Amino acid sequence: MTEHYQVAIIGSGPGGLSAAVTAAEQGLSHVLLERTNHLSDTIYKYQKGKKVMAHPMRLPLQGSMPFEEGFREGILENWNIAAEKSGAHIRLNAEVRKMSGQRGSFQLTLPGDEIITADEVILAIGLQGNLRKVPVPGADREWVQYQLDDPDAYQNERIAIIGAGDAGIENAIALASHNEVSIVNRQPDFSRAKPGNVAAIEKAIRSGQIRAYPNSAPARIDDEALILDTAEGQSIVPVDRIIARLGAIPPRKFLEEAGIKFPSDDPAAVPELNETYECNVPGLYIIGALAGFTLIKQAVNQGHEIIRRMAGDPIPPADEDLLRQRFDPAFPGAAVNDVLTYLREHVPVLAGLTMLQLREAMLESSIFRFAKGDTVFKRGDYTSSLWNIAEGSAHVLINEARPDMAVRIGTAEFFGELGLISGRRRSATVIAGEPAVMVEIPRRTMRRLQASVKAIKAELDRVAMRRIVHTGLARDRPISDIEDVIAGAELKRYKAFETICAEGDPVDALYFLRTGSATVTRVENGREVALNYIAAGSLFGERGLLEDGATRAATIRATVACEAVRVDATVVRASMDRMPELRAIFENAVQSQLDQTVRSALARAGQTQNKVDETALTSFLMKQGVGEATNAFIIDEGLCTRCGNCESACASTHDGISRVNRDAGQRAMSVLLPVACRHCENPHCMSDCPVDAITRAPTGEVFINQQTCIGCSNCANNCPYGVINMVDPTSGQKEPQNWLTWLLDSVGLPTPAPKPHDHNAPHAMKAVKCDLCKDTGGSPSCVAACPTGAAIRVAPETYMSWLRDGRGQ
Amino acid sequence: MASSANEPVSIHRSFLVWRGGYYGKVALALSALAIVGYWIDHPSGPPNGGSWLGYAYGTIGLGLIGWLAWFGIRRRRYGGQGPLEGWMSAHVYLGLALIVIATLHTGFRFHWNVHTLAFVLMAIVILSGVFGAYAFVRYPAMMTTNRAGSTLKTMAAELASLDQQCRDLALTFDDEVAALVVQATEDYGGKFTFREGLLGRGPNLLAGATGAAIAKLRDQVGGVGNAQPAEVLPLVQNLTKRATVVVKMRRDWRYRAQLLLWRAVHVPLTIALVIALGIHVFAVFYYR
Ligand SMILES: Cc1cc2nc3c(=O)[nH]c(=O)nc-3n(C[C@H](O)[C@H](O)[C@H](O)COP(=O)(O)OP(=O)(O)OC[C@H]3O[C@@H](n4cnc5c(N)ncnc54)[C@H](O)[C@@H]3O)c2cc1C
Ligand code: HEM
Ligand code: SF4
Ligand code: SF4
Ligand code: SF4
Repeated sequence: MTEHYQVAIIGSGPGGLSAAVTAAEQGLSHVLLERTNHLSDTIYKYQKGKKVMAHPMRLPLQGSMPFEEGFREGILENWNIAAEKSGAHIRLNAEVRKMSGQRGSFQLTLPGDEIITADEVILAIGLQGNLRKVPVPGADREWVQYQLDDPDAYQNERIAIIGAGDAGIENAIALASHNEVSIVNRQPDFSRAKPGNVAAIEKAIRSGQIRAYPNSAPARIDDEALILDTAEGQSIVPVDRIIARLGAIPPRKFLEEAGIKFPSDDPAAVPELNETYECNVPGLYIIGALAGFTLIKQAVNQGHEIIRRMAGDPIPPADEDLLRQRFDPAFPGAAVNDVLTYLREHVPVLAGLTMLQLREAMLESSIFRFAKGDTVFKRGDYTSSLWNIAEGSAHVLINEARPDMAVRIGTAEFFGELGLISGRRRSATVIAGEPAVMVEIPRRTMRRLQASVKAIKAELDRVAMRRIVHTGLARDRPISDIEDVIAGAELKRYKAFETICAEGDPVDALYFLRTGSATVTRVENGREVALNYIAAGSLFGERGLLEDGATRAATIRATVACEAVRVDATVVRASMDRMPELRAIFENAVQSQLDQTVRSALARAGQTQNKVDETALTSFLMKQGVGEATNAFIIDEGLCTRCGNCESACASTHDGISRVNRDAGQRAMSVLLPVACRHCENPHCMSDCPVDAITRAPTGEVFINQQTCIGCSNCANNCPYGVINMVDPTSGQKEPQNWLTWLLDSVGLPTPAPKPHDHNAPHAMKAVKCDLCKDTGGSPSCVAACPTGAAIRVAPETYMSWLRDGRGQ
Repeated sequence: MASSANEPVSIHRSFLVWRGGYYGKVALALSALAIVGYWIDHPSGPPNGGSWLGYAYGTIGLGLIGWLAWFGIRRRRYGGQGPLEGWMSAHVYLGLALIVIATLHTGFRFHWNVHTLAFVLMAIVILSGVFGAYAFVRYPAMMTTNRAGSTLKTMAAELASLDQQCRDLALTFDDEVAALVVQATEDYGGKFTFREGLLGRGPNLLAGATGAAIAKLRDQVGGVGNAQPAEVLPLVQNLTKRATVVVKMRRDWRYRAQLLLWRAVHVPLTIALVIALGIHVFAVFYYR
């Protein structure tokens, strides 16, 4: 006979557990199903002694399940006690493999094909997914493992790592110093991994430290041997241990099979939920990380809230008070629901959201009431948010000396979308044109909304394209004058290194680079020469647009993933007679191009010998992603005495932990690109920090707030350049300076080692990275401390034009 | 980005041409002025430190030495300071001007006393500084060429792995040959000591254990050992390759040692100089 429950809760993380505890207290017939043999697997897998943070601090905790800031062990212990005390009905080792049905008739399939039925289901399985297993005979041996907790626990073993992603590479390298390690890679190379990891593993392989099996896949696992299918037939690898790092299967497939719909294919999309967390399948509720709420406290609250409602004893959402506080300055004393309704009606971007999405978005957004003439933001600010006008209007001051030429943006429109997307400075000051109510939505929230609500992205793209063409070609005219040009424009996306237009192609369009960057190259004497570097926001491809039958004189190639607005040549030419200023743009472009050519020819003429191959160097820098930097750390090793003062300076001004690493950097010719943050134009690291601890300062620095960072390593995993380190911030040792150590150091002798740090003590792991010394006097300490002029921090545009003018010799 | 008046210019250039060699010009002007002053001044007695002009030179010299020595402290003050490169540039040029000013201060009168001792110490500090500046300018580029994009760690790992391969390959030969190969893998062309770093020439590995092992291996072909060339070749190649890595590492060591070791003169003698100078000043005023 199958068991039947009023509610089945799947997953015993903070969300599911809190639901089960509340259900037991409320006397609901329930079961909590957990895949592993312990509660809360995600928290269980945090590293030992991890400090767990209780963000958002101001959000109150609901229900009786305890949770406050503390250490992993204590929290797990408290939860076990709470589960026991409440008498919740829990089944461990009960992975739900299949799920079907709807309200009143859910069927859940457990291991051994056992079936459980329930009226309603709460899904709280988080985002960690199931680890992918090695799909070959013999993979059930106990020395085939899927995790590596402590690399030092293994010595003198023969270990094969299967999987050549970042996790596999990092494990292989960590084990290689004490073991005989090989790495099995389905691909011919390691291009899937981060550049830092690729360099490290390639080095280790070249030096014979690690053995690689490229183009290979496991066929069978025998006693002490891994049998591989390789391009040259089968090969046998003797092993004592196998560590497979094949990634996790995202829970999405499981969810879709149960009938849950996602609004888009974007991997970041979350299922659409109503304000009671119910998805499109009636009676199926989704909470916690799976529903897009990335923090423990939110999950606990939702589990509690949902059961209270089921038990007929609903409570107001936990964020009610917070929202009231958010709304209060602009709408004193108003009820939260009234303001939310108002927003839905007045701000088109928010109209398509569910109440749940809207609440979540408003927790992070701000509402302002402006008087006429108040400044919204200033030209040159590094703010990255979208402004929506709910009432009134805004004036964009294109020319600050001529306020009469301001562009008006009216009610229900938005502005600031360029800063939102390209992470550059604001291109104009905006003031309120009349008394106005405006909603500022931060970039992170907008990214999430764009992934979940398709219409938002399309609308943003459409408006952005219109404005780019308008400000780029005819900013002094009303936009209605150039509707025909806009009609001939389209938004195009390019992958890194993709050609946008090639030398010799007909000149059939001009482009505006919306995001990313590109290089201009041409072939001279059979050699590709870099001519120019194009930064986001620039107009390009306009040369020759006025001539009939002209061809491209150079190739333009994306250096990173780019978006460009392409405007067809025919529409531009057609409007030329009507708008003489268009003609001027093209004539100026031709002249400045000529100047540039003459200047670099002159610069080259003075040189006897071409030591630095500028093209090779440019392509090296672009391959290393310098194209997406706003501020890159570059060392000229022809000047660097290897004194290490740059690193000492960084450590000494940053809790004793240097945020720059010269050793692990990439080198080409005499240029060293140390591992250090480049303050990317479009920072990957910022894409999913659950507490928004990593942000961009108004002056451009991407930095991490040490107080709010919870140590989840999302940013470190997302940064393609490996510049973020997870460390215990107290581990940085301030070297005790005295006259003896000073003397020893000055004459180049080693100074006595400081007291080693106790790593077993409970500690909080935090993400640390370069903050461009924004709190230490303005200029980068590392550069200021370099005695020889070797170390610089520059914008790639500056560096490229310096190289191009032949001064890098 | 945040910018401030003392932000370093954001492009590479050597400290010698910092701000167009500004401090070089200052030093030159200072020296020229001092020489002209010495030329036209006619003190009552022979030129010496006690004349009006002598006092002026002495004071400037004392100030300069104090300021030059302060560099040791300034160099380790991080954050919120101007670019160190400007200090480096000034240190080198004004340090050189000091030789002119101090010499004129002495009025070319040297004796076996603490006054001359202070002068000699200063001269040695300056000379060692000149070597340091030379090393700063020359060695980085040479070091970069020698490392050829590699790092010391990688070279060490490469060496370890080549050594292991050599020893493994040697196992197929008889004990005498194998022993020679093992010896060759322990041949680092000398020790990595400071003395070697300063004075050592490029090691000639082929004259040592490596050469012996290779010669022995060559003899194995046909003749005594009756080995096939194909058996010997990989080992010889590996031994040669490791020798080139050793030579590179040694050269790197030499550059690094020379970049560091001149300070063993520069810094302690700076301290000695400051003490001697104190005595010199005290003696001058006390016995006046
Ligand atoms: C390294 C790291 C550090 C973090 N630090 C913090 C922090 O300091 N503070 C903070 O607030 N948040 C932190 N987070 C985020 C926090 O862990 C998650 O928000 C929280 O765990 C989400 O809870 P949940 O209940 O939604 O899912 P989870 O905690 O992920 O729990 C899901 C549970 O479901 C089980 N399960 C999965 N599939 C099935 C199935 N098919 N059948 C049965 N059971 C299943 C799993 O085994 C697991 O036990 C961190 C996350 C990480 C990765
Ligand atoms: C009496 C004169 C001088 C004094 C008292 C003096 C003193 C010092 C001191 C105390 C240091 C700091 C060393 C350290 O902390 O590592 C130093 C560094 C140095 N000095 Fe001098 N110096 C003098 C003249 C010169 C001259 C004339 C030159 C070059 C022409 C010179 C070149 C250097 C160099 C290259 C450094 C190394 C800087 C670094 O490592 O960053 N010095 N000097
Ligand atoms: S941390 Fe990485 S992704 Fe973020 S700005 Fe720096 S280099 Fe770019
Ligand atoms: S800019 Fe500041 S934080 Fe960044 S690497 Fe340099 S010293 Fe460190
Ligand atoms: S401070 Fe300058 S010279 Fe010293 S290691 Fe850094 S880049 Fe090289």
